[in-house]
Amino acid sequence: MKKRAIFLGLTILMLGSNSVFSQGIQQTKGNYVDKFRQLDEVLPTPNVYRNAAGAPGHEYWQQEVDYEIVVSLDEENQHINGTTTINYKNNSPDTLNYLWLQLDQNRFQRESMAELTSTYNGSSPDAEDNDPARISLGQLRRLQYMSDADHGYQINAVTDNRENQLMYTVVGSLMRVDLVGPLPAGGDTELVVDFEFDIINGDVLSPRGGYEYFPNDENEGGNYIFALSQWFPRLVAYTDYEGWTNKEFLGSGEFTLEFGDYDVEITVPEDHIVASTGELQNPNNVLTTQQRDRLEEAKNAARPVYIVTPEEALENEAAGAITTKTWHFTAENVRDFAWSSSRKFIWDAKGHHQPNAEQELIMAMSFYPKEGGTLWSDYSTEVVIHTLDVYSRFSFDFPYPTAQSVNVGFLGGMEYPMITFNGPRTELQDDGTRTYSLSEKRFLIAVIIHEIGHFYFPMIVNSDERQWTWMDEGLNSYLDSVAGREWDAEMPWGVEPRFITDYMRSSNQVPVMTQSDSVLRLGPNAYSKPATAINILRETIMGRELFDFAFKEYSRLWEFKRPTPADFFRTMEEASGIDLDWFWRGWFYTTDHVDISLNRVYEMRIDTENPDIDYSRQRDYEKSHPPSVYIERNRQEGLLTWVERNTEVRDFYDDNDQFTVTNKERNRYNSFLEGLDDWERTALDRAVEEDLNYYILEFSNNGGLVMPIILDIEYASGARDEVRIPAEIWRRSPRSIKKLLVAEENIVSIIVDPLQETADTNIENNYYPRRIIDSRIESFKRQGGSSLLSRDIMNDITTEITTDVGDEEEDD
Amino acid sequence: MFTTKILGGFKVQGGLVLSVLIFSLVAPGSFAHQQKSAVTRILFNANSGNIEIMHRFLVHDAEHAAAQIFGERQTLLESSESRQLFSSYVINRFAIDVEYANGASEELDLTYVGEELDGQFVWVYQEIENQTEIKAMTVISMALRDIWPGQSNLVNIEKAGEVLSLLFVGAAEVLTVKL
Repeated sequence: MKKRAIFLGLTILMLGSNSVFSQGIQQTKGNYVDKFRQLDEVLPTPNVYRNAAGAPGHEYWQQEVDYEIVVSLDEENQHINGTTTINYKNNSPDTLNYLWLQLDQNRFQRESMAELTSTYNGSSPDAEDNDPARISLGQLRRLQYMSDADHGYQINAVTDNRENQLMYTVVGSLMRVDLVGPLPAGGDTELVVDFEFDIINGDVLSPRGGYEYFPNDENEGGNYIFALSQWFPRLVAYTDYEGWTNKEFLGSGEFTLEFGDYDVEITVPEDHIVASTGELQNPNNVLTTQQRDRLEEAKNAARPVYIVTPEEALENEAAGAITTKTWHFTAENVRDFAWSSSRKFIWDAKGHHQPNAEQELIMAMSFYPKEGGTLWSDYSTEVVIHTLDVYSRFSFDFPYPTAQSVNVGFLGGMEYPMITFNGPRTELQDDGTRTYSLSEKRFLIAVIIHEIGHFYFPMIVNSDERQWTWMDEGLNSYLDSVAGREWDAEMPWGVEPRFITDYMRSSNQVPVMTQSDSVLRLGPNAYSKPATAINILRETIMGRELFDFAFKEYSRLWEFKRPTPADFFRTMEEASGIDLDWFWRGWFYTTDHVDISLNRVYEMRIDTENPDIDYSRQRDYEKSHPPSVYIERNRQEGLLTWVERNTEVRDFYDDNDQFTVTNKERNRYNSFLEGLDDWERTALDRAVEEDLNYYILEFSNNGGLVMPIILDIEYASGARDEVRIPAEIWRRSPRSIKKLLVAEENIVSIIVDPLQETADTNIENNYYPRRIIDSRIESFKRQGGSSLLSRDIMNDITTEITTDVGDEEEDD
Repeated sequence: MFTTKILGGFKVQGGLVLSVLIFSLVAPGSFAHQQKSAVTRILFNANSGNIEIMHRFLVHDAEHAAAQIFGERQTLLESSESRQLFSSYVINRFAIDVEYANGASEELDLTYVGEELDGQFVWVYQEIENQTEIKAMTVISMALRDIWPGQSNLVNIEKAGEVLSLLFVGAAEVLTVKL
């Protein structure tokens, strides 16, 4: 308990100091919160590299790094040997004395920061209850794997292009190479790095790349699928906003990279098929005539064409090879390079055509083992093409010649330029067939769309993944839902606003604008929440036309460049003409949630000031009250009042109540009318003639996040109206506001956010008058404990129809 | 099973064991795809007087988990038996201990209500009648976390419009909150 108290004290202190130091502008009196305060004080100052409109500035620069790599794969020892010649062009205005390289394989060293700071996530043993601690066999295998051998790079040499040794210092997953002389602005330099490493077992460590082993294949010793990513020393990005982005690789924050041209020669066993970033340069050396013919046929095929058929792949995987082959690939203007190799691969391809684009033909291709089965042959390549089609419509033409999906079992999905690794597989049944569940099929389609989508964000719109996961994952998750719903509208996607409400109302979360490695729950924080926010921006805040224009502009401006969050925020505003600072603030910089409540509605009618009308209305109003219970009961008991018993005694007031109009009131009304200006008279006359209903609606903002107020109004006649009030209604009073509505008819009910498009976390206070809203469990029970979706259709469909009705009745 | 000596730099008391969970650790990896996360709502339903527990998992996660736990292929979208198996797993990995305002405490004997699909999600429901004022709640939420170390479970306790959250990540196994 004491611990807790101390902790609490600390927290409060920190909050206090935060608000003092991090806020330039402060509200120091009262409790007003400016939800619409412009972001100027938070965003970096515009400069010649990034302008105030969110576009690359007039002196925008980025480095260029070209690689020539010769690499060979030793299948038997799962080992990589390579030499990379790096040409570094310093386009920055700065002089560089050293270069930083990323050695991502070093993350798997025993002493890496990632490894040393990984936490034990199991239970602690409990002596009192004799409850053991638990550890899974998988975790045990991991411990053993790490103790058996150390991993990471072995750097054999770092030289300049004259084979002079260069000094280098390895710092965790980074390496600093000291240049012989300073590299001035505009200059370039060449270095050669000779490296090798043991490829990681993907099934043990769940890395982004590694090998998958198939011990039961017919081939003696089994077979492998190799997925090589983060496999060569890559230049750390040097940027105008952070200098060297040399932050240690901890696992969550992915990569910040430079664009450049690649020339890569990959030597693999002779019977392997290689899928790679880029375009194959020596098909004559590595493909058979038949394979080349099939590739040619695939260019204009209606459906994917096998380059390696399932039968040929089966034959390949039954026996190994002794000799090797070298596959030569080149890729222009890419920010990374990955490849995959296996004798197990079935390979299919289909040309995707972009009329009038610079890259008219794109070869969409899939590589998968027999374990991928028809799930892959039916869908993978087609999903790749569908994704390119949709994403290009929302951004730019796809600029590269290939787009590939490779089946790597230990990965959910992972993306590199022109190549993705995707996990879903079929299951072998006892009868030898391969089947897959509906959920697996949906996952395959979803994951391929998502990973192919990453070709655009961040492989081309090159955001800094290590700093801001949401910039590629959030935008991409938004777009994958667009593409997904165009693939099959029946397939559920995650960006529906109601799916994020449980996360957003939770008291334990961090803002979206949090560095990747510090994010508490990466899934909802960096994927679903920003994707939902973008979806709401399009459908609810900006509208499709403005949003699509602005988003396309952002994509176009930053194609092959390096945007930061500020560039995205600014471009979306500049291109649409909509001030969105409140939206970015609420959704990206705070942990507020949406909960708008309609607390009260007042119904009113205009006084005409004419006593002949108003007095009789007042009489009607008085009569509309329920009668006194006391008097009513007296009457029921037959009790007569004195007045009723003495009807012969009457005077003036028995015929004239307090609402009786005299000429005194009429004269006052006439002099009131005479005192009005013409415009006042016109306004009053019109209001009296129209005799409309006036409503005051009282709203409160319980969640803190300001959002538009969308109203579904139902009138007495049954007619309905939609009223959309922009979020700016909250600007002077962010906690509660009133709105005046005028209606011809009487309103009978109002619903706030009727289509649940704003991620409002509390639906109950959205109804006026209030309704009792069933909880999930209550409505589940009301439906008899099961929904239609829960039927076991695949099983039920085999049920035979009962023909003997008599029997059934007897059973009853 | 074996006696542990040193784990993570500290000595575990003698007699305590580190028991091995008998299923393999092959999470459908998720780097560039959505991360593993589940949500549980514990709702004090003022209308019914019940405490309702609603667990939400991604169907695809749940399907792979169920296959690992029950040792054979499970199809959650197609088969109600698979869904029930998964539910049985979830409710066995979840518990609430309450401390009442009168000082008494007990583990809630939650009733299994059922499960249903909603889009990408499978929901598992439990409930219990509640008539005594609860002062504090201790929750254990282990579902999927005993299979995938990276799984995070968010538990929202919703009472009279207030939301209190417990986040099961890292080594968090048992968390307590005062209501």
